[in-house]
Amino acid sequence: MNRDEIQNLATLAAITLSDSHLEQFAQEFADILAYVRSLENYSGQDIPQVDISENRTYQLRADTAQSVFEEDVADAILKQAPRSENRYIQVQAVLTK
Amino acid sequence: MPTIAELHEGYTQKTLRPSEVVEKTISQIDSQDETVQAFLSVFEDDMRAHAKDLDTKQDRNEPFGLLEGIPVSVKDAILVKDKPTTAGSQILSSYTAVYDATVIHNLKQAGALIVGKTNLDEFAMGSSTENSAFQETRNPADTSRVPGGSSGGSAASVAADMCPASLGSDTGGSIRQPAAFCGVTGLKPTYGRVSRSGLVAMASSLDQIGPLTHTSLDAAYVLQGIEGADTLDATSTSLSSRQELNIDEIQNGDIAGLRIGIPQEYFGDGLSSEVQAALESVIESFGEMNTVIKDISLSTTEYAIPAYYVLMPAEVSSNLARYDGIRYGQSRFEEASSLQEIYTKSRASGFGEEVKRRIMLGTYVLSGGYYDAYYAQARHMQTHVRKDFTNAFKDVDVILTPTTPHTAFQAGSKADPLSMYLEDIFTVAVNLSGNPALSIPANPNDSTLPIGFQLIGNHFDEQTLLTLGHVWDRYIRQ
Repeated sequence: MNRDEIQNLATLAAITLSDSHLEQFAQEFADILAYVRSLENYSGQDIPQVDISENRTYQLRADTAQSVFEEDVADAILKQAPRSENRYIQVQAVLTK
Repeated sequence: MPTIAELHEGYTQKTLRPSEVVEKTISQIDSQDETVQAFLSVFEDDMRAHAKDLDTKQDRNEPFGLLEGIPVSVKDAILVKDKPTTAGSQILSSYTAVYDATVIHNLKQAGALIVGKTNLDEFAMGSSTENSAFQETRNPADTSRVPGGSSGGSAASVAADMCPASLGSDTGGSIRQPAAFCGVTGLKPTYGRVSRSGLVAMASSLDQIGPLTHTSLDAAYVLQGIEGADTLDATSTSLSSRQELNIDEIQNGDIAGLRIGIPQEYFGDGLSSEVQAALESVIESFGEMNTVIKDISLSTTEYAIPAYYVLMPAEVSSNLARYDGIRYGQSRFEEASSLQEIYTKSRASGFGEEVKRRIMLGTYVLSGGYYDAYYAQARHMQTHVRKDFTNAFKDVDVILTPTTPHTAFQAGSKADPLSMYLEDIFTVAVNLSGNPALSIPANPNDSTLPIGFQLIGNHFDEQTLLTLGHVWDRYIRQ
């Protein structure tokens, strides 16, 4: 893997990487990916893929707005936001005039 | 520190008082944790207030539940309402949990004392607890060594007698490997047995919460307290009567005729001589207890780690997309000139190196052109691993392996990521297959470093693992 590929991945993952990390990750990713490619060596019988979730019953609840907690946690959640205003979480402007 | 069973007995017989146990817990943390560094936070005031109520209850001769007044520490990836939850990451350094995880809700209902939050590798990614943004936890058996990870703080808190039980989480071995390194018991329950609501998600198809304790019996008590169906985690399941734990039968310890499988693939090159010797002695002892020891083969063993290091990062890249500097946690809002820059700068400064590495690896294996070569192939391997176990359990009731290839390593000795990944070589397969697995101290009486052996069970058959574990505890401690 080269620096440009790593930079592209960083962009896709929404992470800014320093130059030294670009170099370092390029080398490490090459090693790690070479290792995981050992999966190709498996000589076992080819079997149809079975989903791990097969035969499993899931806990489902109605798709309706409700408080699943004993109390209303909206204020506590808003308090965790780095920026909020009038009970809205604030972000940078997305559209400009 | 007594076991849960002994504390309960003491409360019932009035030979122990909850407030005294709390003071002992706090003083043990004060004396031990400066060197061990297991705790990120300790809830002294809450414990003291709770203990006062329990003292009153004891004075009134009211009965105590099994977990009532039992100090339990909690890995800092599990939410405790109104307490900081960092997941060992800078990006959550300012986060306060707004609700209780289901397991915490259950423990509180049962009257357990929540001691505090324990250190971990950042977002549970690591095998040494050196990879926390806040501190490095050390192994109480030898403080120049790591406690294992990622639930290293949890394992160390129990091993250093700071509390009799802790909750950890296990995605690829993060309960069992530190349990083995620290000389405590650690259980990864069957996928679906315990709700993960309120666990900071790493790889959701693999994550399970489980107990770390001194004994298998104590692990059974904690599991009973936290397990069960929960509408807040769709993968959690209700237990059939056959799957429910029967504590009396665990204590009876009837293991005669039990078929124990020994997979040859776990005893090859790379296993240290001390672990090999300890395991041989364990197998010999079980053989003398009227069990049937059978050699078996799990041919997918060497492929479990490569498959895991595709599937896990893929899920990590998705799960950790939520840390964006907008809704909670550390933010670089001030320095950003666009919405995208809030994300990239917050994530760059908030995440540590290993977290970035895994998010990007996951992004890679899921990206167009590489999906089939990596992700699809790894999913296919997961099916093979699962089938391997299904076939094995046609012939045996339980599988016995080492938990780790060697004892705890020196802090700072594993610099490259791949060598750290290989630490989980004996533990990841059951995360891929969903089976339960229990790590048990093999040599608790020796002055040498702790060694763990692992019992793997059929889906939802924790009963057999804990029964065998209890028999071993009794045998080795008599």
